[in-house]
Amino acid sequence: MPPNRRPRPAPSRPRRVVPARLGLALLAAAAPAAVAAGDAGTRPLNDTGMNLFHTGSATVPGGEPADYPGQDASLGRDAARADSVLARLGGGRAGFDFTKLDAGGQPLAIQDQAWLRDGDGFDAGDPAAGTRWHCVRDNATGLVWEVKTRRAPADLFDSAWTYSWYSSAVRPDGTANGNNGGDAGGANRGTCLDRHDPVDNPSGNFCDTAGYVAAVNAAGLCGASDWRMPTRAELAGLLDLGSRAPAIDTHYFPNVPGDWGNPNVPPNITWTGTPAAFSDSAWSVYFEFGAALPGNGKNGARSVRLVRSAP
Amino acid sequence: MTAARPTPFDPGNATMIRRGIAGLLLALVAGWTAPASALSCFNPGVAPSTPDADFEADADGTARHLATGLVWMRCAIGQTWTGTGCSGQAMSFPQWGAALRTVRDINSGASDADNDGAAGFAGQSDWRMPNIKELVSIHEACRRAPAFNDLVFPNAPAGNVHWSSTTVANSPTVAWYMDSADGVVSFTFKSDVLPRVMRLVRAGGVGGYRLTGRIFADGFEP
Repeated sequence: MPPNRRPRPAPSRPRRVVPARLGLALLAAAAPAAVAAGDAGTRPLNDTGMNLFHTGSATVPGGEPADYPGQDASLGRDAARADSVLARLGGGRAGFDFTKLDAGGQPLAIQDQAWLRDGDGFDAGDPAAGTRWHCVRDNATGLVWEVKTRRAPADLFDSAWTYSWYSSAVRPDGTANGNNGGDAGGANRGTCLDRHDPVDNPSGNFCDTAGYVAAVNAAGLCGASDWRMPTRAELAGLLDLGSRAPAIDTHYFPNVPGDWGNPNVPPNITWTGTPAAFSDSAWSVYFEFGAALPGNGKNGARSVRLVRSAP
Repeated sequence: MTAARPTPFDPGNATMIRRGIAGLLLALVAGWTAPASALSCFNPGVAPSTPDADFEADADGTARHLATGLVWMRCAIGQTWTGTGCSGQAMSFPQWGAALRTVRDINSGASDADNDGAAGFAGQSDWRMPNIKELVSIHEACRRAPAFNDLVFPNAPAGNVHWSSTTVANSPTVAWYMDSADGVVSFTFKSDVLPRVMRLVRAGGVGGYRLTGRIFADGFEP
């Protein structure tokens, strides 16, 4: 028996074995050959990022325990990546597939460098060197996500800014907005760049979700003006549940709002655009672990991360 | 004196309106209180996140979600698909491991917890417990108790913790769940005495890919 190799234990149930040559063919395919045509959806999901195996009480190496079959790590994009058969355009942990974009929305020429900071922790990179980027394209879902900043002085996209939840009752064309849960919410209750004040700064930004969407679209982030709030499901799709504090890939998404592990600071609460079915609140996602709750009141000043649908 | 507020409008809501129009129109025609014929929203001010038009609901007891490509059982495990709806109560699985093993056994025919008298379900034997993101994808934002589309998933458990296959990072004793009362996602102990239910899924493109491990032709793992 060659050193460093061991016999495969007899399977407790039949396993689908992928011969080496089929594995190579799968590498070249856009989707594994084992998947039937027509299975893929129009807006596919990310996997969870949980690519470790567990029993009911422990994390275990060496593959799926026989008595805990079909757990998360055995299936999906994360599993395909583990099998080295997931075709990706970009990079990222586990089954994620991200591409860094510059201020014009173009992929950086250099994709493998880390975010650069100065000695005080402020953003100090350069897109040309691949050490700073403005948006991240999620190649699995077709969404493009805003990247938060930490610059001195703070810019529009700073991770420390907060916004209340606001969605007006009437749309610009005069028709009713059927998706604010029946309550427009809290206007301008957050703290953000150039905050609107009716007397001192009437042309300033409204520190609420609708005001932030308007400001980012006016700024043309990544060359686009169709930014919007993410739905509950979309924002949850960005979670990397193989990580915590925060539960997101911080290589691609630096400056995640939150002071992790500090019991004196409220947890990260990031707004979604989805109003709650019950009461005057809206869905938010907690990026410390990845929980999602519908009960945060719309006046609350929370974090926001905008999204757009890639064409 | 407050300045006249410009009407900033979140275009994301408009997108959801367009997606939801078909479902809303169908609901208006059929009547809000007729769950048997259309999705019925608890809050009409919330655009449906899983409108009827997003699904191909089949008489074989499965429903394909066109957005994700996932195919769901229309009934929870323990219920019986009657051909038009789900009868009975969902079975409770207080232990996550036992729930996973039941899924394996449903596929092999060792368990008939899906009450169809056959191995697998609807002619398929690759059903799985959904991961937490897959569960969230069928959360219906305009509904509660249960927060599912009631046309596609009739008589769904109204306020129950639904298991996901996803263990919480660095906490192997707890797993993620979605509660069907409101769609809350949080985590709970894998071993408990409280009732937990499950709804199975299959397909979904790469979502259904099953880990094989790299098996070399000579049978030795690397």
